[in-house]
Amino acid sequence: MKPIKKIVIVGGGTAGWLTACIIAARHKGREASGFSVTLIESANTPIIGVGEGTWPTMRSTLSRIGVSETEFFRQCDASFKQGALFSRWTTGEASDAYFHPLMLPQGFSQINLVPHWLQQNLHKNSEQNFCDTVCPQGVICQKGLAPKTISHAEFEGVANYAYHLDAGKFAPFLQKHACTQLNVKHVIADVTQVKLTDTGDIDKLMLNEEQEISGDLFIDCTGFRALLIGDAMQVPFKDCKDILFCDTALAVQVPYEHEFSPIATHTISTAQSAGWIWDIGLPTRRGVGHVYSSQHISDEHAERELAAYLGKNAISPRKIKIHSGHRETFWKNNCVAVGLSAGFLEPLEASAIVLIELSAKLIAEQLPVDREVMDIIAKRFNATTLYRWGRIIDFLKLHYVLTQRRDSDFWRDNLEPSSIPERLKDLLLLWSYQSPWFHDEFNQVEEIFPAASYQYVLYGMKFKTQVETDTLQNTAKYAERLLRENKNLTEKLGLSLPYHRDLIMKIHERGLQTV
Amino acid sequence: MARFELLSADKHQDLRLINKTAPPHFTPVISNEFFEAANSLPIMLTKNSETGEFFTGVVLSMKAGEPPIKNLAQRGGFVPLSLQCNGFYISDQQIAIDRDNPRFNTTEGDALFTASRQPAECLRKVQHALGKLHVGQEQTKTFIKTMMDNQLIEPVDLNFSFDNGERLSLKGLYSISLDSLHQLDDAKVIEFFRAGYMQQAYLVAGSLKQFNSLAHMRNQALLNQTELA
Repeated sequence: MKPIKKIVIVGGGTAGWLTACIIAARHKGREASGFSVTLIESANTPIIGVGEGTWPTMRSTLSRIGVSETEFFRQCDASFKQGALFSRWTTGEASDAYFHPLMLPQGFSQINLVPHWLQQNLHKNSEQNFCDTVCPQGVICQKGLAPKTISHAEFEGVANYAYHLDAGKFAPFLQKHACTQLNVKHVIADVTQVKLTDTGDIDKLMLNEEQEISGDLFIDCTGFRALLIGDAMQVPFKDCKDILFCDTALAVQVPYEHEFSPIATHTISTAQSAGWIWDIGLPTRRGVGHVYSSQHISDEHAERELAAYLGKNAISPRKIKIHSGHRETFWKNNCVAVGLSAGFLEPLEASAIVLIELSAKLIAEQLPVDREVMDIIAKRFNATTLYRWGRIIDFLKLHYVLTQRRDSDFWRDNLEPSSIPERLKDLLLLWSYQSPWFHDEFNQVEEIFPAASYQYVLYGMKFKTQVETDTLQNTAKYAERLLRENKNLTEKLGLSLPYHRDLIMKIHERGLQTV
Repeated sequence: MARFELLSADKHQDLRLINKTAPPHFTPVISNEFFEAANSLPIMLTKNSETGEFFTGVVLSMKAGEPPIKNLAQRGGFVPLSLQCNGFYISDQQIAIDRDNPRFNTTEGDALFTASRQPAECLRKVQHALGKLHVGQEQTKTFIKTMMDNQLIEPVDLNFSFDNGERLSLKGLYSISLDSLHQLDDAKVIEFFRAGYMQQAYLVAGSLKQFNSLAHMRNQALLNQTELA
């Protein structure tokens, strides 16, 4: 018997502090029986600060760890994110754009509206876009409106939302909460050596200044260094650059014209000749970056495209190497990787932070009581996490294979069959006969991308699915009603929601109520 | 539109006040009014749509635009201070009025000033009410903040169906949670009791039952209407 009571997290970035908060909050009240969470942070390692976009899961995560949404907005320069606008991904023309909103299509649990929409377009000969037909959020985003009002309680809203945030402020914000509210122990030191037991478990960590730290479960949040999972446990890295070609990013911060400039309430992702540019609006500045394949264009070329997007030269952009891929396993013996040490993918769908949340939540909920059962939990964790990475890679690749662009090698190479995962190929074939809906293909608990996301991307990018007109009659009336209701709701919300910046200013000044 | 003016005997010598304007379906009350209000009306919390801050008020009718369900006698003579002061405001220790409020008039109602340009009885009553309101608003804010800080406020789902088939659901209303109130530790209970909060909390929570009589009376009125038609 070796009870699991002492959790040691190495690394003090977003992954480390978020994981510490999630585990400590879930096991609050166990301190008396010796349970503890310790986070070791190096004083010397710079924080990468991955991604400034989250998923809606962050609402429940923040709520569950017990932070105030008002304080989160005030201290992390957060803004509301209601989805993403994909520009120039389909044809490459200036007018080519579609939304991937965070709200589900109307009546999604009852009815699949895709075939109804497809049929409407067939008959009318005029193209009403899928997103606006089935949900109000695209219009809300285009009008620059917030997903809620000041009267809505913290973490509640009329439209589903996630956040954009300043990652450099988010980690310290979580740190303060972890240390003052959740009893997480904070040690500032470098790990100089990892000592293993005969069975290959991590026994203890040697720190500089002759300190050592033992523990029952070690969580590697050391970022790309992968100090524990890579160096100590020797778990190999599984590359996926044969599927996703982007390997470099140039990031810049762009100030607003003036303090009342509108803040975009969605991520703007604009396709380029060999990659795409992200554009994220915080209250204080925009974060803009060019993600590209260095196999297809040079850094100079990439910088020129970034400058063309900004309308001016980018001042000393920060260059970040992207090694697309993940560990072969994530939990080995008594060591589990969370965050960049587990893997990284281009930030096209803001998957970095959500994977931290989901992994930490899974660890917290499944935390083995004793070492004896840890390997069973680890096996399950690995299966789930591997599945998640696979689905994200598929989903990212989906954006590239649906394109009609043929204007550069990058886009042409993306259609090379050998670069497309088998599972995705099968699904694409299937979807040409039937549209994805929530229970036919996606059965995993906490499926990372719901079928609705596939619908928005597929039909936003003009994917063609056959319609069996005869099969629609039973549900035609209901579908019509939902589409009408959506129109009314879109109009109503368009008139009643406040502007995004106005609401953020009000939250800073007045705060949101907790109920 | 509002047109604010500082009240003065010189300027408003001819101004008269009508007391019979239609009250809104929800009007603010202060904590000192809870006792009287709770006898006949539900006291609820709701949020100011501009600031998101909570305030307390009574429900007079169940649908905007409808007259109060209970008349003055059925309310035991209770007129919320906010209605008594409707159209009047305090601005830097002085009384201001909204000249565009339909209560003000030059032909009918009670004169605000006497012939010798002193405040008439109706204005003296308003002055008195304004004073009570001013002090009471601060106390009420403290009460609400205390309830918030102790997580005692909860949203309430109110759904009604009437015999004529109409369904009403009232949104955005909150009350005090008895469950949470009963979970307070002993020290808090004594502190709240001494401060008068315990009683006020029970008055708010208990007054929720007044929806039964409001709904019943509205239902009767609807049935009478259909019979007449």
